Amino acid sequence: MDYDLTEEQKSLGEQMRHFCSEEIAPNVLAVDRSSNDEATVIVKDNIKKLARVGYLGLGHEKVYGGAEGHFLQWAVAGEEVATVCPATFLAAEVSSRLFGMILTFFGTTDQRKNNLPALISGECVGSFELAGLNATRLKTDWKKEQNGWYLSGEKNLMGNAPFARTHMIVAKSSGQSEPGHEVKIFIVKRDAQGLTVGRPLDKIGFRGFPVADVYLEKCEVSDNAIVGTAGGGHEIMKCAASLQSLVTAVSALGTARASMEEAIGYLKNRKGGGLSQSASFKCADMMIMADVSRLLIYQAAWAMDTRNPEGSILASGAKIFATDAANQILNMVVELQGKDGCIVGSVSEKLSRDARFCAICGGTSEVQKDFVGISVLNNFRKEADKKQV
Amino acid sequence: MEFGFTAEQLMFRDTIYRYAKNEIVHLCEEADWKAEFSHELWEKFQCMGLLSLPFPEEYGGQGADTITCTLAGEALAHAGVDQGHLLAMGAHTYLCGDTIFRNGTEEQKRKYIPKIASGEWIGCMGLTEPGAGSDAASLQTFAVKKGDRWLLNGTKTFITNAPVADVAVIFATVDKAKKHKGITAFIVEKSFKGFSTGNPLHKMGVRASATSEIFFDDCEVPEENLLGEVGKGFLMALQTVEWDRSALLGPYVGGLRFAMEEAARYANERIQFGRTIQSFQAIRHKIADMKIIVEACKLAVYRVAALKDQGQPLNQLQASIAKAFLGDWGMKAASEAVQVFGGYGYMHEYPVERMLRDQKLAQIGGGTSEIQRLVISRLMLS
Repeated sequence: MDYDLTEEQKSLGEQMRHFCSEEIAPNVLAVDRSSNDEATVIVKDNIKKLARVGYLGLGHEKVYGGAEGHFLQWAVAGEEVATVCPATFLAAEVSSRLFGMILTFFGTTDQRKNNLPALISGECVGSFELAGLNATRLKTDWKKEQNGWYLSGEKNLMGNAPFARTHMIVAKSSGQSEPGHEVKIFIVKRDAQGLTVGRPLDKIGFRGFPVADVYLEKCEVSDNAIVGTAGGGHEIMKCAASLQSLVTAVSALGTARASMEEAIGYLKNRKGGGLSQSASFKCADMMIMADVSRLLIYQAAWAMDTRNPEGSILASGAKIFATDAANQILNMVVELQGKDGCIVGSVSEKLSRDARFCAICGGTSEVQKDFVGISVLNNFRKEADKKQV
Repeated sequence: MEFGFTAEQLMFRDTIYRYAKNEIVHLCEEADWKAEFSHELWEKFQCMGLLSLPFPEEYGGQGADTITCTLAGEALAHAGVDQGHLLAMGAHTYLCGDTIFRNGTEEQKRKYIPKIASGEWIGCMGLTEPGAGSDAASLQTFAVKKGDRWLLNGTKTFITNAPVADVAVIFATVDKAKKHKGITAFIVEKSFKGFSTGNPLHKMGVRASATSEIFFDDCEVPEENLLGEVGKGFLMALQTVEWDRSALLGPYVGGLRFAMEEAARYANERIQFGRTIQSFQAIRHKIADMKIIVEACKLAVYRVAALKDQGQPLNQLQASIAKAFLGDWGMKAASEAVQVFGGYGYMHEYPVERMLRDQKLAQIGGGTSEIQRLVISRLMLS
């Protein structure tokens, strides 16, 4: 057991902190308070800035402009971005870590070559859903016919959909298919016939991170739109679910940390005598929950890096804890700031809305707990009853 | 960063786990029920060298690092050993043994460590008094030098192992006006004139751990048994108490793991309304909550162990976080484990019942959850 970050990881974190405070921080409140269209312009620009410092390329192959590296390193850097602007963070992550890492892990050479360079350079953006991934609840079907594949249905909470060049669509078989091959993942261009992007959702939090529903009506796609080889969709979807969990967990941690920094600054500066015990105990609770969230996130990132068999459970657990912690922390921060925490436009008011949203996206806690619970229970069945989930 | 154990550590853990399952666990239920410390069980600890782990080989120890020591405690509890005997082990080896080892003269180490490492002598540590719990620095046990010996007068309470101990590390004051700067540590043997213990105290949990008061009535302590320097005992006590927030938490991590697994096994078998209760979402969610808490407790506790292995004896922020989290969130997990068992979880025969009673101590002993929050907020806001 070794809890130390390497010098390289520490300096990456410091670099990102410095970069974000210079380049991203000045526009954070504008992102939250502007209209969807105006906010999207700022977020797009932020993504390009992040691309210039190599942030989008973390984890991707050098040949496509990536910076290689592991999830642990990404978690350190990502926390800095999420602390400054959660909306920019999620927009960048949906494109480079959800859409992008699926390709890096599972895509064919052509798929990686045709998509990754533009994603990593920030020139364009990919979209992926933030609804919880579950084979039985997929609302989009694929159908193979003589002349191609057809997608029909609805995708909810597609992150980046309003301004993405390409969408990654997870779909299930409309009828019979070989067992284990029901789920397939497709790369679909925005201008594909039969694909409509709905209106950007006017969300409670992470405003500026554009999200919309996507509708598909017999949208035709070719063979090479299927991510990876024509099989193994379940494995890809399981990985995608872990990535969703990890990304939303870090967004929650960033939200929590930003609010704690705000609260501590507020408490240290306020006039009127010492701190009440209930206030200092709330500070302690915030520290405990944020710190434990970070430990769980680091462990999950390490588990993904080392292909630990518990990786997906740990990612899910980190998401459940970190998002719940963020909401509890924001509750306490607003309470501590009293009247000042309730004013529209204050940092805490914004962050409470952000915390609420990040608990929902990436798979709600209810769904995540089903997954974690069932996985643990399966490990303690009598041998004769053991089933695969 | 690395969150796995080495192959060697895993082999060690598995050996301890199997040994506990085969040799120790069957002694626990009765000991807890009768609230009796089992010397037979203590011998099982001795056989495997479990009491000697952190000490160097030259003193009869095994030179194990803190992570390995914590892992041993976790493995024993994970196998089902009760927290009472594990607290006895922890207080003996770390609160007493390590305090002597870290602060003692060579003579003191050679005299006491081998006996403690072998378990031949049982050790305890006395800090708490009837009037000084959270406010440990306000302790009143008074030490005055008379010729070649010190005379101690006062009372300690809630002392783990006191009824069965041969040796004690005792914190007294040489000058009450100096508050924590008067606190001084002594090594006191039970045979010293003026030393006596009270009747074993009846507790909610850790019932097999023998706990009592210690009475000092002009207790004569030879001057060579002064531990460390006069007036330097408070810092020593802080370091001692940090074991309560690290290695001594290993058993609680193991206990929570055991409780979760027992609950999972039960849920897979218990049938109500024509189906196993694991098929109800509420039960699955409880198991999920337990799993997350177990992982988080593990991470927080081993972090303190890792910091100690890097040579830092005091890690106040991380230790307080580990203690507060394991105490408070661990209590939720232990309660949920009982809940999964329903009525059976309320019965003595089911280990989760004992675990819930044991778990409550984690919120109190070694610094209450409130004290941990005081420490954390002070560090955050300074």
